[in-house]
Amino acid sequence: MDDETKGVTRRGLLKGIATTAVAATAGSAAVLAEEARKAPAGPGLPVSITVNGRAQSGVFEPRTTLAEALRETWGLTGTKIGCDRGACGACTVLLDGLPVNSCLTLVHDADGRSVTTVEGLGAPEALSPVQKAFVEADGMQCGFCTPGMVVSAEALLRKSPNPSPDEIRAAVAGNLCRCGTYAGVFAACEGAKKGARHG
Amino acid sequence: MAEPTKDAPKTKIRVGLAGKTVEKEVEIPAGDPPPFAEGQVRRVFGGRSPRLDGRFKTTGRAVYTHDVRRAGLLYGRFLRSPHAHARIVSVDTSKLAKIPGVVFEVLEKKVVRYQGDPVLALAAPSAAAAEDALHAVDVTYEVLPHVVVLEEAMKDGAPLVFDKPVEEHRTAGDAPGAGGKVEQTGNVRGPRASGRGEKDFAKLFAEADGVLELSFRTQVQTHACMETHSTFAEWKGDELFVVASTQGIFSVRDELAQALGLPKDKVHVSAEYVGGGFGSKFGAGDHGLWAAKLSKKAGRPVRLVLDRKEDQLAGGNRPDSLNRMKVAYRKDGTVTAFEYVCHGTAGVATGAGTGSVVKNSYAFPNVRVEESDVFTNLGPGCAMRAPGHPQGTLAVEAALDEIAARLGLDPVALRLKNDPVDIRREEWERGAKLIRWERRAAISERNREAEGKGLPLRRGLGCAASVWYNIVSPGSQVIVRVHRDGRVEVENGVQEIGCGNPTTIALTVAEELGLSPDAIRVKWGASSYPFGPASGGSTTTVSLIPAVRAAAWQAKNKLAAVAAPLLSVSSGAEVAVGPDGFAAGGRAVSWKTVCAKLPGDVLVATGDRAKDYDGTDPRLFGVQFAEVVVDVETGLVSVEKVVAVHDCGLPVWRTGVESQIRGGVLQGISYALFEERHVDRRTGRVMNPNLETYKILGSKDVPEIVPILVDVYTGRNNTQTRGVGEPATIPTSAAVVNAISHALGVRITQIPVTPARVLAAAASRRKEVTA
Repeated sequence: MDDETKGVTRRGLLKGIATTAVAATAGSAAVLAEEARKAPAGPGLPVSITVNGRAQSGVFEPRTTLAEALRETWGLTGTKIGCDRGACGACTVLLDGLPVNSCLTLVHDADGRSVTTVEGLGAPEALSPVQKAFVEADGMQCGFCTPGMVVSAEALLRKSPNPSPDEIRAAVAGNLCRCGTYAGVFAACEGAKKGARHG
Repeated sequence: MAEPTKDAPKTKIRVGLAGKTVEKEVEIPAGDPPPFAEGQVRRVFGGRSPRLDGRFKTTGRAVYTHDVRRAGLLYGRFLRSPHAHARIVSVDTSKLAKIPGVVFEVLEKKVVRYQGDPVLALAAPSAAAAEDALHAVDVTYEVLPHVVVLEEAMKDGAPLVFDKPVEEHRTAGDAPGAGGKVEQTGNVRGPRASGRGEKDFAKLFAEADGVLELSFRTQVQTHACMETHSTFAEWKGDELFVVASTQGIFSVRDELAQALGLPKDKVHVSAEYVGGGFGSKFGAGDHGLWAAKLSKKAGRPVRLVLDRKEDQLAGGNRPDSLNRMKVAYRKDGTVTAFEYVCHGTAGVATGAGTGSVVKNSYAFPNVRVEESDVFTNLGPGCAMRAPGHPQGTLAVEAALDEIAARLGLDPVALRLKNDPVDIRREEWERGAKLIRWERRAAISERNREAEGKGLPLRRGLGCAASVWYNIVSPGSQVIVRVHRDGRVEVENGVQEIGCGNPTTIALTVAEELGLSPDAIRVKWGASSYPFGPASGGSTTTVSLIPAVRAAAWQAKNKLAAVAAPLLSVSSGAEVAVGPDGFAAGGRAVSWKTVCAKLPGDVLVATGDRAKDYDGTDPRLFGVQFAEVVVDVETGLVSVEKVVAVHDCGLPVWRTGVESQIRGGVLQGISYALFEERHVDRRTGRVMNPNLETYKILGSKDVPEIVPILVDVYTGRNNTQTRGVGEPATIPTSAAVVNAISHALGVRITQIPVTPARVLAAAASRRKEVTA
C-alpha cells in the first residue's frame, strides 16, 4: 500500500474477501493510463504533482480541476465529486497537508505541490488509524461522503491531536452526509484521537 | 398467492412483544427453517459488529458508478430545457455534427414541461468536450405559459401541464395503494377517495364534543443523494453491460430489456456500491436508457453522470402537500371522525398523496380521505423515504396536539386514548421515560415566566408516532456455497445503498453455520446472481434475510449429513453446529474436517423467501420525542435531543439499525427546519438547484439521538425480521414541529420552520397575549 499506483489499488480491491469482482467495474489500469497520455488534451500545459508520495504528471487544460485529474487521469476515484462546487466536501484531499476541496482547486494550482488522497492514507488490508476508527464507530452508511469525511478527520487530528467535540464538528462542517451518519463520524474522530495517543 | 390447503400443518409459535409474547398457530411453509424463538441465544445475529465493507468505503476502494473507468470511455450529457414550459420549434445540430468524436441523439418530444426536461443526449471523449458540445446545439423554443405553484395550478383557467389524462406507474418504493386510474380535471388528478367506518360525517361532527379544523402545508424536499444519478453502459456484441447507481438492480435490468427490446439475459446490471437512493433510484431513468443507446451508437462505453444541478431539477423529489383536516373528538380525547383532504404536486409526475397515515397510524373509527395530485411545470417527484408519510404524520400529529391543547390534556395521554396497539403503547411509555416527558408542564410554566420577563429562549417537548408496513417483495433467492477447503460464499444480487446488506447477509449465514461473519464471502450487487429485492419501502431485509437463512440452514443440514458418519451417529441424528465445528453424541469434529469430506468440490445450497406466515399485525410502529430550544428574537431553532423508539421485529444487525435510525432522524430534522426548493413564479425556474442554497442539515445541527429498539417476534418469517428505513424518518419532523409549537405556545402548521416563520409565530403570540 506504499505503492499507490492504480494497478495496486485495483488489485487490492479485487483481493478483498468481503467484496466481489464484478467484471464490469474493473478497467485495465495500464490501458487507461496509456489512453490518458495519448488523449487529445486540447490547449493544455504540463503539470507535475506528488500524489500520495508518487510523482504524477500530465497535460491539462487550464479549466481542469484537481478532482478531475485525480479521478479521470490518475484513476484515484476514492476522491468523490458530489456537487463540483465546494458545497459538499466529498472531494476533500490534503494539499501540502491542508484539507481543500479538490473540485475547487485547479490542477495547475497544485503544480509542484503534494497531494494526499484517501487512498494515500491506508488500504483495505492496512487501514490508517482514522480509517480503522471509522469502521469501528460505523462512521458511514452508503459510503460516498466517507472518503471526504476521513480526509477531513485526518487533517483535524494532524493539526489538533486531541480535539474537542466542537472542533470535531467544525472540522467536518464542510462535509455533507445525506445518510445522516454524523454521530458515527464524531465517534470515529473521538476513537482516532485515543487510538492515535496509544498507537 | 397460493390458497392455504385445508390440511396444511400448523405450528404453535410465540409471537408479539419480547417478554409479552402469546402463543399462536401459524402455517410454516415446508422446507423453511423453524423461526427464531424467544429465549434462543444467538451468537452474532442481532448484535453490534463492524460494517464488513467498511474497509473499502473508508479507503476509497469501494467503486461506485461514478468511478467506473474504461478504455475508450465517452462522457454522456443531456441538453436540458431552460424553460418551465415550451414547444420545441427546432433543434439545430449542424455545429454539433461537425465535432469529431461526439455522438448524439435528439429526444423525441415536441414539448418540454419543466426546467431540466431533457431535449438531446450526447457523449464525447472527455467531460470538458461533452460540456463544450452542449454549447454547440441551438434549440429554438416557443415559450408557453407555465404554472409552478400548487394553489395556482388548481385554479380554473390555469395553464395546463398536460392536455391529456395521465396514467400513473408504480415503482418499488411507493406506498401501498398507489397506481391505477383516477379522474383528471385541469391540472388536478383526483380525488382518490378511501376510508372506513360511518358514511354520515355530518352526523358525527354534529354529535361531537368538539370539532377541529386545521391545515398543514409541507414543501418539496429533494433526495440529494451524495452520488448523483448515473449509469455506465457498454456493449459486448449484442449484450449490454450496465453499472447503475440504483436501488433496484433487477428493475433496471427489466426496464432496459423492455425499452431496448432485448431478452433479459442479454442485459447485465451491476451496482456493488451506491451513493444513496432514498427512493429516487428505482428505475433505469433517462440517464440509463441514453447511456445504453449512446454506447450502442458510438460502439464505445459511455458513462452518463448527472451534475448536481440536473439532479436537483430532474432527479426526483418528495412532493409538497396541503392537507386540510376536520376532526371530531370527545371530551376524553377520543377521536370519533377524521376527514382528510390533501393536494400535492409532484410536478409533472404523480404520487403526492399523504392520506395513508390517517387510515393506518391510529385507531380512528371513522375516516374519510381524499387525495389529489396537482400537476405543475416542475421536475418529477417520485418515491422518497416513506412516500406521503412524513407529510401525513405532520398533519395528523399537529391536529392531535391541538386537540390535546384545547381539552387541556397531556399530548401523550391523548394519543394513548386513540392507540390500542400494545407494541406502540410500550414505545410511548419507553420514549416518554427517556425524554423525561413528565417535565412538560413545568417547561410550559418556565416558558410563560420567560415570556413575562422578556427573555428570548423557550424550550419545547414534542412527540409523534410512526406507521409503516410489512411489505415483502417476493422471489428472493440465495445460494450458499461451502468449499472443500472450508470457504463459504453466499450469493444474492441485491445492491448496497448504505443499509448494510453485505453485513446482514454475512451475519445471518455466520449465525447458522457457527462461523465468524468475516469468514463469509458475500457476493452481491449484480444481476448475474440470484434475484434480490429492491432497496426501498423497508422491504429489503424482510424480503431477503429469511431466504439467506433458509439457504444457510439447507447448507447446514447437508453438512450435518456429511458429519454424521465422522461422529459415529446415524445420518438423521441431531448434529449441533457451532464455532467448534460439528458435535453429536459427545463427539466433535472440526469445520475443516467435515468440509474436506465433501463428496464434490463444493456443496451448494439454495434458499427461497417462503411465503409470510400470519403471526402479528403487518404494521411497523415507532414513536419519537424531540426536545428543542427556540430563540424568539433570532428565530433560530436548536434541536437538543431526539428519542427514537422503533420496532423492526428482531434486528439482524443492531449497529446498522441504529445508524439507519439516526440517519432517518437527521433527514426528518433537516426536512422540518432547513430544506426547501425555491421556484421563481415568473420564470418557472428553480432558484436553488445546488447544495449551498438548498440547505441540508450539517454536522453542527446534529442533536443527541437515542435510538431504542423494541424487539418483536413478528411470527411472519423464519428470522422474525422487518425493515426500519422508512419508520426512522416518518415521525421526526412532526415531533420537532410539535416541540416548537409547545415552546412558542403557537401552533406551527407549515414547514420548513425557518427563522422567519418562528418570528412570525412569536409575533402572533405577542398580539394574542396583549389583545
